[in-house]
Amino acid sequence: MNERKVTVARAGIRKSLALTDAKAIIEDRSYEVNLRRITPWSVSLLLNGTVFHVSCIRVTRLPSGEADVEVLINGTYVKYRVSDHRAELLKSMLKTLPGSTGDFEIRAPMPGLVSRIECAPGNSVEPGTGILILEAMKMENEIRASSRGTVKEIRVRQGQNVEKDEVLAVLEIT
Amino acid sequence: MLVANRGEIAVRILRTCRDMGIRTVAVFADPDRLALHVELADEAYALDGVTAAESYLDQEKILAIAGKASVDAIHPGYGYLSENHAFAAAVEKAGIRFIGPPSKAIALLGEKTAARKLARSLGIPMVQGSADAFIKAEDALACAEGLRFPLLLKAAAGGGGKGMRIVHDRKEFVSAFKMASSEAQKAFGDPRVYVERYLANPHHVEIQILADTSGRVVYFPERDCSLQRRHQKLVEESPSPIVDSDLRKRMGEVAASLAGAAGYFNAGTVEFLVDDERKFYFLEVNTRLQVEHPVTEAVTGFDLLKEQILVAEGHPLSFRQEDVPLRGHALECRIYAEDPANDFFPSTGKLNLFQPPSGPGVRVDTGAREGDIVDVHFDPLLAKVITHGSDRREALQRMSRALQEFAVAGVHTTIPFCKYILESSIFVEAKHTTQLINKGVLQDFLNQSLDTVILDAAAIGSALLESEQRVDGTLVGRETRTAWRSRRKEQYR
Repeated sequence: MNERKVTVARAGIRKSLALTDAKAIIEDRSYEVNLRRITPWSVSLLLNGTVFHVSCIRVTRLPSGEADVEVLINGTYVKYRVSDHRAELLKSMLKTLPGSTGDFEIRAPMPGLVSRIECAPGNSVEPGTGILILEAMKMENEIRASSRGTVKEIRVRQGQNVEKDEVLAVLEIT
Repeated sequence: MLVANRGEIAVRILRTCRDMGIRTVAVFADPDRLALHVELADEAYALDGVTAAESYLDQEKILAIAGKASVDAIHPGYGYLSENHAFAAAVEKAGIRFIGPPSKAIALLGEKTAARKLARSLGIPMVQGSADAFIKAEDALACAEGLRFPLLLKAAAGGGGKGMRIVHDRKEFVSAFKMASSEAQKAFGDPRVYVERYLANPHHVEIQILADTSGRVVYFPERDCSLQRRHQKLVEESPSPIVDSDLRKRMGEVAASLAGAAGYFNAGTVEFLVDDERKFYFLEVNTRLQVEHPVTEAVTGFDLLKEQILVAEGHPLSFRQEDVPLRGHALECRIYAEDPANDFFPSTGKLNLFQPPSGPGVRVDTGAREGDIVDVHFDPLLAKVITHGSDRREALQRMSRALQEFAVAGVHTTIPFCKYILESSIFVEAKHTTQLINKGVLQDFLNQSLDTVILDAAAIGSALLESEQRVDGTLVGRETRTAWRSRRKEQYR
């Protein structure tokens, strides 16, 4: 028996899910599961005799050990945050770690080119103050502070290409 | 014919050229080496550049290739050089036919403030705004003093939502102006921006026109492009659910008169805003074939690209105004590589899965293929899905079905969001305006209530797919062998 227990969350609702070889139990509902691959990115899922087509748009690993899984199920978009006990443990540890409170990392929402930097370390910022301009696909996107604070570090240069989720700047939240 | 573009529009142009027996030349930037448009052309030449500026926007490179390949004509598509009058003039000067309006008409109408002046002189109603465009934010702000906020900043040479910003109050003005201006410079090579009053809840309705070199102009049934995000169109339809035959005729005649006064020939589009009282206001003229032209093709049966080529060759229009039919209803959904959950930011990655729909009443225009890399250099439009039906309801049902069939993995797309919006009562009842898509709608989309069994199936699918990629930490879908899966396979084989 190869059992795996995870928690899935969507729209603020968390559900526990237990997966065994050919069975899944969500809360008090039990399903016979049969998974067949159609392509490397899409599967046919047979649950209690009914087929669902699931294609995986993306899986995004979070530093907390959780993962955001985005799927199309019968053409409808559903995003779940999936975590198992290891991720839960990691998350509770991160919460209690001392030191880094008050610092907030601003990360690139997508890959792009830093076309202009609009503030310098030491500057105080309000929610909505422009930090820098990230250019991608011919659009300029202003990356703004989400809360009041002070710019602690700018980690990128003008003209630099950045990856998604790369830290652009660090704010000290006041 | 040289096609100075990429993606779905390059493919669409190449197809009509093939239909007409015209030999074609494609050009491509480095990342497009393996793109579909390169494969579909009779000849293809490298632009030796990575970014748009080094490739599809580089006039000299394109003209050099046109010379080397001895082409008779250049089609610019949309975006890039399509509305650049200097390029059109350079093409004309080189003795090559430019498949579009004459460079003089592009200069006159493509420059938005000049177009507004011409429209005003013809008595066409329009939204209040600055008479001129500006390079300096301070000058623009001085001119905007007489106008009430919110204001809309627009690139004088613009189009496609680039170089455009809404300004809600004075203190946002300068920073918004600078961004619009710099975006305009990059997209169109012209940093000038003008100011307009921002209408709160308008419908966007536009008229396709076609004119021949003798000055005859016909107009086509209107397109309604009210469903937009970030000022960029997402869904278009023809006819507009808010336009009746009387308004259609009045708007069409206004559009044709403007084209006539500008000495226009070839295809163009006159854009209007329509308010709740069904009053219309001139917005701008797009001096090119537009992204959404297929909805017009669907309801009229014309191949607009073919008509463009015939007019450019000097042929008179082969039909009259009364020969333009309106058959049924058509819709277009733009499939962008964007993440609606992340404020429609472009989404990059590999198209691990790309299965476009088909079937009755469905047309898909795309330049993408499974395995293609979607990167940050170019416009994120992956495909257009166009459906046609005997009425709006049938076209909508077909669109819903087509979007359900359209499977894409590896990047986020607008497919599930379009499907959600099109099935909403506000769109079905055609009560939407250009302001429909906001944070609330996006939140509703992300948290839409679904049947428990669907949600459970998605949860089980998500957990299984997630566990598969735990092994090596890369994106899901690699054929990794976890204990769970290999056993499953054996058991059910």
